[in-house]
This record gives sequence, C-alpha cells and structure tokens, in this order.
Amino acid sequence: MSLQVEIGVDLGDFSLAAAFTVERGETVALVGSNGAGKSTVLRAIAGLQPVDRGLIAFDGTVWDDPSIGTFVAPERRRVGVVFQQYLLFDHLSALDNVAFGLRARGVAAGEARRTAVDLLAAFDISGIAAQKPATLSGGQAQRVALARALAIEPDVLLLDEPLAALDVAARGAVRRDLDARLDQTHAARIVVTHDPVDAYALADRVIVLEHGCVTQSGTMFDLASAPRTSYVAELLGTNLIRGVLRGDLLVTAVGAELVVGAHDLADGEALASVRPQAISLHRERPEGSPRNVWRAEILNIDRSVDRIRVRLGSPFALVAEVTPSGLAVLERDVGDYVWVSVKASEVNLSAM
Amino acid sequence: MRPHPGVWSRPSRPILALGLVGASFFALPFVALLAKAPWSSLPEFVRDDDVQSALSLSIITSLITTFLAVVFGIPLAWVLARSEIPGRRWLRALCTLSMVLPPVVGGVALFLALGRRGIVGGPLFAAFGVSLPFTTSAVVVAQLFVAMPFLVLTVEAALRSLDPAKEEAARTLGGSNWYVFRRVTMPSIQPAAVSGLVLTWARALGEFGATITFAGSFPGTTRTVPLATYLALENDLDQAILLSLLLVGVSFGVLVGLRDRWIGVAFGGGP
Repeated sequence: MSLQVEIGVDLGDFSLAAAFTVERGETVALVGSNGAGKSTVLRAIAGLQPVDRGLIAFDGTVWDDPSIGTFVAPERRRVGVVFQQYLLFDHLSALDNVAFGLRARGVAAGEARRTAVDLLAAFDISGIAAQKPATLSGGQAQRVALARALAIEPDVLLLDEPLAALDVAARGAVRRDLDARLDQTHAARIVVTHDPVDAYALADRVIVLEHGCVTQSGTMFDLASAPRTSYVAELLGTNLIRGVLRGDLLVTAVGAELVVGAHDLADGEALASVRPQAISLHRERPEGSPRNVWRAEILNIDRSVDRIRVRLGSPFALVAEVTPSGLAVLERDVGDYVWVSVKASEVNLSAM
Repeated sequence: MRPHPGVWSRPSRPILALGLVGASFFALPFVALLAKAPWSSLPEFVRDDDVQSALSLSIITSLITTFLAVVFGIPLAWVLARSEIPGRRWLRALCTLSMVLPPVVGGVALFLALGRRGIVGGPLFAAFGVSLPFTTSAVVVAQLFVAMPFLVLTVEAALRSLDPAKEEAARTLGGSNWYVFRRVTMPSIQPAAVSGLVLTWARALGEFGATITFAGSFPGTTRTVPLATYLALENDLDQAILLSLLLVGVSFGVLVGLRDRWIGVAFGGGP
C-alpha cells in the first residue's frame, strides 16, 4: 500500500532523477532549496508533468511509465493537491470550492454539497461557507484548500509549501492544526517545505532533494546526526526539542528541563531549536555561566562531512558538532559519557 | 484611468486647441444628425413597414451571427491561445484579417467561395441545388465573416492572460478537459467574453459592405438597417436620418454599457 516514485524528468538544462516510496498513513517531507526539483516531483505525481523516464505507481497500479506507454490523466488519479498559493476558484464560494472535486467526479449536486458542508464543519469553518476566496484570511484559505483536496478522498495527498503563504504569527496555529488533520487521513502524504520546523512538526520522514537528486533521507534526527551534504548539515541538521514551556523552562515529555533564552511566547507547547555548534562537550563538569549542564552518553560519532557530529543519548536526543581537534582533546568514544553544556541564549523557541 | 493630477493634467494651449478640434470632428456629425432629425415624422417612421422589416431582419440576423460567433469563435480563440499547432501566428493573422479588410472585398471573396459558381458554392449547388447568395443566410455569413474576429481576439487575449495553474488544480480534483473548460476557464474569462460578444453583435448590426456585395438588398430578406439607410438617402432623407440615429443610439449604448474597463480588457489595454 504505497506510492512508488522512480522518475527522470528533463526540463531544458535541468534534469531530475528521484526515487522514493511513501506508505499510506505516512507523511514525508520533501526538502530542498529553490530549483532543486521539489515542485517538479509533485507535478509528476499529480500527472501535470509527464515523466521522461521511470515509473510512478500506486498500490501496484501504474500511473506513469513511458517505457510501456502508460499515462493516467491527472483527473483519473486520486491525488489531492494543496497548492502553494492555494489556487481556490475565485468565482465559487468556499463551499462550492470544496464540492468541486466531487461534482467533477460525477457526484450529484445535493450530495456533493452535503459532503462539503460536513467537511467545512470538521474544519471549523462552517461560518465562511458562502464567502468567496478573496474575502478569506490566509489560514481560512489554507483550510478550504485542504478540505477541497481531501473531499475527493485522495490516495495521495501533496502539499506544496502549505505554510509559506501565511504570515509568521498565523503559522504556529495553522501548523498544529494541519499536523492533526494530516494524521486523520489515510493517504500517502508528501509535504514540500524548506523550513526544518515544518518538516519536524509535520513529517515522519524527510527526503532531501538537491539539484534534481535525492541526497539523503531519514528522520530529522538521522539527518542531524549524520548529514551527508553541507546543505543538510546547515539547514536541516539542527536539534529540535518538543516540550511544554513554563516561563523560561522547556519541559520535555520525559520530564527533562531545558533553560531557554529570552522570548515572548505564552506558556504551552513549544519547539526549541539548538544548533549543533552551540552544544559544548567537556571531560569535566564545566565551570561558569552555562545554565544547561548535564551528562550524556555518546551514541555515535559521524565524520561524514568536513565536520564531526556527535550523537548524544538521554535526557535529550541531541547532536553536537565539534572540531577534529576538539574531539581529540575530549578523549571520549562511543559508549563513553561526557558533560554537555548549552547556553540558555542558544536555545531558540518557536510556537507549536 | 484618471490622469495623474499635477503639471501634466493642464496641457498647453496649442495642445488643448488641437485636441478640441479633434473632439469636435467626432462630435459634429452626431450634432448634425440630431439637429436635422425630423422629429415630427417619428410616429410615421415607427409605423413604416419597410423600417419595421429592416429592423427585425437586422436584429434577427445579428443575434444569429453572435450565436454562431460564440459556437465557433471561442474554440478558435482557445486554439489560437493554447494549442501548439504550427503556423499559429499566420492562422491568427488570417482569422483577424477581415477586421482590417474593406468589407466589400470580403463580400467579393465570399461570393467567389460560396456563390453559385464559387469553389465551394458551385459543387454545393450542383449536388443539392442550394444557392447561398442573396438569401437571409448570406446576410448572416457576411456578418459572421466581418464580426467574429472581435470575439476571437477578446477571448484569445483573456485566455492568454489566464494563469493555467487554476485549470491544473481543477484537473487534479477530477475535472475532465471539458469540465474544467466549462467550470473554471469560461467563468474566468467571462468579462472578456461578454465584451467580445457585445462588440461582435454591434459590428454585425452595422455590417454594410460585405452584406450588400454578397447578399444584395432585397426588402424583407436581405435589406438590413444599414442597407435601408443607404437606400433611403436616395429618396427619403428624413428616414435615412432617423435610421442613422437608431444605429448611433445602439452603438453608443454598447460603448456606455461596456465602459472603459471592458473595452480595456478587450484590447489588452486597461490601466
């Protein structure tokens, strides 16, 4: 029960070659810089961009395979797409936007509208059913776009930068809402993003696309522990810690406490990010100012790029970056314990 | 668009004077028509059988023309805007040639194509005994030839400026090509289509040269209002003036009805 993608697409002098699978009920984040080919992958899966080589199949049904001349038109694949700019139909009400896919698939008007009414209610936006898209806020438009894509009960759900069109203030709440709603669908889900916080919050797994090729895939922690390219190391290889904020303390699910820097967030669920370079490792308990000091086991040492990443065990699953000389001075190896320190000012918060 | 207030909103006197001469050049003929209008003979004019038959013929033929322009013109506009057929630019030039051609030339060309000895009309007459020229159908053909480009050009411009992403979104939701065209494309280009429709109708209503060449001027079957106006000039000036005023009124109404915005849409101008 999965989406199988093994494609090659040539667009002018840009060439894409990507292979991965996504299971039903799983959310995969497709991450990469601008021009890496993320949108091309989504367009190919949706059927808006025929592939030049390879295969796209869902549950064994081939959607696109030029070698056997098979191409299933977009309207005959069950792929729901939430576009970056939402692309709601301006001349239709929110309700008719949501009902559009059902009407297009031949469902009678009354039944399509009833389903759309139920979906709007489930998305807590019944009040805007009669409104035209131009009058909706960014968050409302995003929910309508998601409801419209889900109305057709898609096998595959594609979300292209679903939070990029929102201002920062609205993003946290919409992200949390989106995460909960994605978990309720049974589709294979792909979220395109270049925000590590989005990838961490929404996805089970991350696939990194660079210059048209998949360079790495795995959980966010995998990527942070052992980044294979400098892009992964710099953008995604950051530590993210989920917890509940109480004043200047972030308390994790296992009860570990982290002192955080100055912030203006209210108490409640929050996400802290700590750069691997901001984590210091010591042989002895450090003296001085750091307010976060604890002992942790070294689980792994990765020397794959021009830097060394040390993966640490409980109480926080963290990755520290050290220089080769720093590691030499430390005289510790996998399985040994080290002292860990992080300045409170290096712990950055974002709302969940 | 309102002129930007400031130094340029007050033109210098020579410019103003020349501009006013230009404006009065347009205004004068209409003023003359109104000044010379025999208002006292208006009741008689309205009851006149010839006037009534010309008017009803004009309305019926121009409406049929508009309908046919929609049926063939919108798909043609779609082909010109979206398809990738070779020689598309030449095809566009060909399809809009009749806008700039003298209508009488169009009439001659139609005659050679569809006349009783024409390259298509000849075999048609030989096989079925059908002869198109000098019939009411010929009036419609002449009007369509001259007026349809207005619809084609307006709709084509609108289709070009339409972002295909919305149509793609509709495809992913399960819409077939035809469904997406009806439910997404057409509503998006509706203002332009309406404006093209009205311009086409107005042009068909005023058609003269191609009609008189290809369809002749037979009362009741091919003598539309513009033809009746021209003939009335010979023997009944009063009637010619009132018929002219009728056409002026309709044309003016079209322009006011469309306003700047839709004309702007029509010709890719606007603010």
